[in-house]
Amino acid sequence: MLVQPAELDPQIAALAGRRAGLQRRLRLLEHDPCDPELNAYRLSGPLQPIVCGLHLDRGYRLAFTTMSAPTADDRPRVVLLYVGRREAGHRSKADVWDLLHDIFGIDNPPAGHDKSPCCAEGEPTIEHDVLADFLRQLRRFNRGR
Amino acid sequence: MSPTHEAIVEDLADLYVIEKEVRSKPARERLGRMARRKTADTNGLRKATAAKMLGVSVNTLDKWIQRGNLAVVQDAKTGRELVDIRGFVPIFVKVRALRNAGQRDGILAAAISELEREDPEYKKSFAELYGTSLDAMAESRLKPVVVPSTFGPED
Repeated sequence: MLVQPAELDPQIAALAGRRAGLQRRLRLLEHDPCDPELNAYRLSGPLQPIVCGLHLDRGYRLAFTTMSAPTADDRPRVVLLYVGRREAGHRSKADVWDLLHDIFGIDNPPAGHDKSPCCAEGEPTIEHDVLADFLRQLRRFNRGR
Repeated sequence: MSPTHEAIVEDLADLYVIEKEVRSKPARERLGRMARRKTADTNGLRKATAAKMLGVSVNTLDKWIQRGNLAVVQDAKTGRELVDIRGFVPIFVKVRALRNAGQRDGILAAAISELEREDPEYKKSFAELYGTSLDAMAESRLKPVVVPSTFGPED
């Protein structure tokens, strides 16, 4: 199952009319977060075990992770974490990866990252307490916008 | 060409089943030696491979490892944590049997449940593994993704 925090509604809604191809990627994610067509990759640095990113169209990016399946069908929940635009030149206040790292409260590694395939060593996973903290920070972030 | 780890596990699973059906002690010992030869070059299974063979995510596999249902060993070359093949086999045998019987959902949980019934030492209930995730879902305000009605076909 594909899930999102309610706090991500504004970021998703902002893609209306942008032709970023989000719907198509969501269908693939829901079916299999390791689908090669997604070309998902691990983020570098401290988020490497937790977050995978993938390219949408027109410069947008999507970050996701997985959680243990809470139901008897033994499939993990794919959790959308953030979606936004990649800003050229990095270190921009609006850059999707800078924002994601800010919300997680950690430094974004410098450019020139080694983008290893998302599922080479299994799926990215997030612990409940880390996710809860991330969501608290995302709520604060949205209030400040 | 060397057999894949999946093929080794399949062979060990067959040996495990046969060993349980054989009455003769010398024959069981012979089967045990065969199983040990199979794992002479490797005693560990990559987590991704183990998870794939069980039909679960690596995250779920890690949870079972944390609760002691699956033993791990360390890869001598890389230091990476691997699933101990000999401990993995009984679970895989159960999962395979359930799948062959036509069960599709909750296979790992059912396999663990059967092992628990057959072996009182085999621990942890399905609810303990998944209960935390259920609470996390409620607390974390996660909801199924719904695309806004304002989205166009290319959005």
